[in-house]
Amino acid sequence: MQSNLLLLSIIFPIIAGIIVLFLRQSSIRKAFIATSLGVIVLLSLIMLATLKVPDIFNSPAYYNGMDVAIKIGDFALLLYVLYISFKIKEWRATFFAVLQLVPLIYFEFFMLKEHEVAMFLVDELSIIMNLIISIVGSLIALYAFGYMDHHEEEKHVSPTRQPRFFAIILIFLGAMNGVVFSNNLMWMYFFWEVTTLSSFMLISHDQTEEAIRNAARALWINMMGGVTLLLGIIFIYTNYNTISLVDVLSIKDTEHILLPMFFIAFAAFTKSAQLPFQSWLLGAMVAPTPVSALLHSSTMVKAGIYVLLRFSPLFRNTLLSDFIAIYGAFTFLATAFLAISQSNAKRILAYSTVSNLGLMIASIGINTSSAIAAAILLLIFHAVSKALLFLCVGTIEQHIGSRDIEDMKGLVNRMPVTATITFIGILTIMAAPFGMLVSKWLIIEVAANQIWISGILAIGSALTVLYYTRWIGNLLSGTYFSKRSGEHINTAIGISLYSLTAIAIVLSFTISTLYNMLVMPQILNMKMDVALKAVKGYLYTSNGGFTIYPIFITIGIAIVLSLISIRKSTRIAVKTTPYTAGLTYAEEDGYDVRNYYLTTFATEGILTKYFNYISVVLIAVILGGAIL
Amino acid sequence: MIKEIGIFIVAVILAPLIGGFLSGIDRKLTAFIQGRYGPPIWQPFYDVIKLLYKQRLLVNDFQVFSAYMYLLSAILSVGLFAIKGDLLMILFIMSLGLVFYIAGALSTKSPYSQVGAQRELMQMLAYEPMLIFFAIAVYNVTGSFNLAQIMTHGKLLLDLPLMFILLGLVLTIKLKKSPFDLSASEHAHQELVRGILTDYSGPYLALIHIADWYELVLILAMIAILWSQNLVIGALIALATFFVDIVIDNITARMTVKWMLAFSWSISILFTIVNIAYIYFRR
Repeated sequence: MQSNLLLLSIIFPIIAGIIVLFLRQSSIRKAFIATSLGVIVLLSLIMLATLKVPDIFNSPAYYNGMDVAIKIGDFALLLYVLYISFKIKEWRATFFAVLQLVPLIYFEFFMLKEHEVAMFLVDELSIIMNLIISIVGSLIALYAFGYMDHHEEEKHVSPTRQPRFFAIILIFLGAMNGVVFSNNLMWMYFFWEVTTLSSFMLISHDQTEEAIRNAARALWINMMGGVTLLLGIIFIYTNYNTISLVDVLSIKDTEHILLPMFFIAFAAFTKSAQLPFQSWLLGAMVAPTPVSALLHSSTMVKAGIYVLLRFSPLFRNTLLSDFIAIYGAFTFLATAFLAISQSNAKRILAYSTVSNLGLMIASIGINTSSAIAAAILLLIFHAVSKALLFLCVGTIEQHIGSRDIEDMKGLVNRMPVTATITFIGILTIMAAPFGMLVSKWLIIEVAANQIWISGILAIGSALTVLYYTRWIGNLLSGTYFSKRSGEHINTAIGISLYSLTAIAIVLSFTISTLYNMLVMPQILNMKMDVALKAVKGYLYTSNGGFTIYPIFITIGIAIVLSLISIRKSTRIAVKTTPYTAGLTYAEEDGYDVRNYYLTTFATEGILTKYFNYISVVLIAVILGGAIL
Repeated sequence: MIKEIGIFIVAVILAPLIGGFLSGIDRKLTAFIQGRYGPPIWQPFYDVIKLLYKQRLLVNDFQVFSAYMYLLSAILSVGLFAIKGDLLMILFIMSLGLVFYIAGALSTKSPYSQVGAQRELMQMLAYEPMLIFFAIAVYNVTGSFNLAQIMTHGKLLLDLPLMFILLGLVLTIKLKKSPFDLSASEHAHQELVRGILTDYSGPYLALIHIADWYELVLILAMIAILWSQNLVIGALIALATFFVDIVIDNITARMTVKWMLAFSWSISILFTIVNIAYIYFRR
C-alpha cells in the first residue's frame, strides 16, 4: 500500500503531464492541472503522515515493469538528446550523450547481473525533498496560470504553447520525486536525466535564438554531469557489486568508495551550477520566471545537494570532504562578489542561488552532525524564500517591463502588494530571526575551527547583506507626494505569493518543531550524534545558541510603535519633501542616485574568468583528495 | 530567569546613559584638541531631549519603522550581551537593525541621504566581517561563542592582541570617525548636511542617536570582555581605546570608500590569520 503511494507520487504527475498535452481548451486544462496539483500536495502530506521512515519499500508486482520501462526510457532519452543536439548543432551535447550511451550499453548488457533490489528508500531527507517539490512546486505551477497567459499575450504566441509548458512542469515534478525516492541507482540516474531534459525544454520554451542557445549550454553541462553520475554508479558496481542505494550506504569497507564519490560530487556540482558551471544557470534566466523559480532555484538545483547529502556519510572524515567544503565556501564567496556588480534582479537572484548552494555544499563538506543539520535547514528555507523572490520579480517584470533594480525605485507606490511581499521575501532570506540566517549562523559556528572556511563565510555574508539591503531601499523609496496607484493581482498569482510568504514566515517561526520533527531524525539516520538541540525557538549546541522569539517580539514592538507614531503623526506631523539643499524638489523626474556596484573592484567578466580558473583548480584538488 | 530579566533591564537603562556621557566627553575632548571650549559634558542628552520634542517632519512612513527597528535591535543586542548570550547571534541582531537604518535612508528620495546610505553600506561591508572574524578568533581561544563561557577566560587580550586592534578599528568605522566618516560625520558641527542622517529628523533622529549610544556601549563591552578577569580593568582598556579613537579622529582626514574597503579588508584578513596562528603557536 505504502509503496504504491510512493509509486503514485512518481507516476501520477507524469501521466497527468501527458494528458495535459492533449487538453487544448484553456479552462478545462487549468481545472485539470489544478486538480492534479491538489492530488500531488495531498499525496505528499499523506506520505508525511503515514510513512514509517527510514525504511525501504517494495511493490514486487510492479518492479519488473518499472525496471524495463526505465531501461527503455534511458535509451530513448539519450537518443532524443542526440536528435536535439543535431537539430540545434550543439556538438558538446552530442559528445556527452555518446559518452553516456557507450558505457550505458556496456553496463546494462554486459556487466550488470540483474537481481531485484528494493524500489524505494525513504527517510526524512526524501520526505523533506518531496514536501518541497510537491508544495513549493505546486504553488509555482499555480502561479504560472496567471503568468503564462500574460506572457503569451505579450509575446503574441499563437496557438498557445501552454499544454507543452505545463506537461513538462508536471513530468518534471514526477521525475524529481523519482530522484529522491529511488533506491535503485540506475533509476535515480534515469530521473536525474529526465530533469536535465525538462530543464532544456523549459529554458528553450520561448524558442528565441537566445533561449535556444542558453538551453543548449544548460543541456551539455548537465549531460556532462550525467556522464560522471553514470561513471560513479558503474565504479560503485565494479567495486562493491551493488546498485542498491541502501546497500551502498551500509558499505563498511570504504577504501574504494572515494573515487566514485568524486564522480557523483562532480555531477552534483554541475546540477547545482557551482563554479565553473554557473554559466548555465545564469543563461537559464531567459526562461519564463516560473521555470527559474521551480527548476533553477527551489528544486532541480537542489537535486545536486540532495545527492551530496545522501552520500555524505560515505566520505565523512576524509580529505575529499574537507576539499569539498573549501570548494563550496569558495563558490559562496565568489558568486556573492559577482552578485554585487549586478543590477538585473534575476541575475542577482541567480548568483545568490549559486552562492547559497555553495554554502550548503561547504556545510556538507564540513560533515559534522550540526553542519549537516545546517545544510538541510538551509535547503528548506532557501527553497521557499528564493522561489518567492523569483515569483515576485516575475510579477514586477510583467507590470513595469523591467527586471532592473534601478527601475524598481518607488515600486511600493505603484505595486504596494508585490513590493511589500518582495520586501518580506528579502528579509526572510537575509535577516535575523528568519530560518536562512539561523542556518547561516549555525554554519559559521560549526566552521569556526576551520579558519579559512569560516573567514570566507564571514565575508560572503557581509556581501549578501549588501546586495539585498540596497534592493530593499529601492523597493520602498517614495514620499508622501509620490503618485500612488492600486494594484490588481491575478487570483492564481495572489494565492501563490501569499501562500509562499506565509510558509516562509511560519516555517521560520516554528524552526524548532521543524528541526525536531524532520531534521534531527535524519541526523540519527546518518548515524551521527545529535549536537544541535532545539526547544521553543532556541537552537543550541555546546558552543552557543540562537534564540529567535525575542527578535520576533522586537520586530512586533517596532511595528506597533511605528503604527502608533504614524497614526499620531497624521495629525501633528508635517509631511515634507526630501532635503535637496534648497533646490525645488521635483517628485517624478528628480534625482537619480544609482546604487554602488563596486565595478572598480568587481567587473563581472574579468572576475568570472579568474574565479573559473580557481574553481577548476579546486575541483582538481578534490579529485586529488579522492585518489590519495 | 528573573535575575536575567533584571540584568537585561538594568543594562538597557544604563547603556544609553553611559553612551551619552561618553559622547559628551568625546565632544569636550575634541573641542580641547581643536582649541575650542566645547559644549557642556551633558550636551548630548540636552540635544536628544530637545530633538524628542521637536516637530515631526516626515518624508515617508517607512522612515519611522526603520528608526524604531534600528533602536530596538540595538537595545536587544545590548540586553542579550548583558545576559551573556551568543556573541555571533548578537552581531547578527545588530546587523538587522543596521539593514533598516540604511534602507530607511535609501527610501527617502534625497540624493544626500541616498549617497550617505550607500556609503554606510560600504562601511558595513568593511566592519561586519571584522566583527565575525573577532567572534571566530574568540572561539578559537575559548572553544565557545557563549559569552558566559568566553568570560571564564580571564585575559583574552594576551591571546588576541591583533583582534583587539581590529575592534578598535571597528569602533572608529562604526562611530563614523575620521578617516572613516564617509556616510556622515560623527560631529554635527562639521557638516551642514549629514549624509545618511539627512532625512531623519526630530524625534526619529533622536531615536537614531540613542541607538548609536547603545552600539557604542556594545562595541566597548566587546573590548572590555578581553579582560574579563577584572572587568574594571577591561572597562579601562575599552575607554583607552575610545580615547585613542578620538585622537585618531582629530589627526586624520576623511578617506575614500575604495581606500577604506581595501585597507580594512586587508588589515582584518591579515590580522585574523596572524592572530589565530599565534594562538596555536602559544599552545
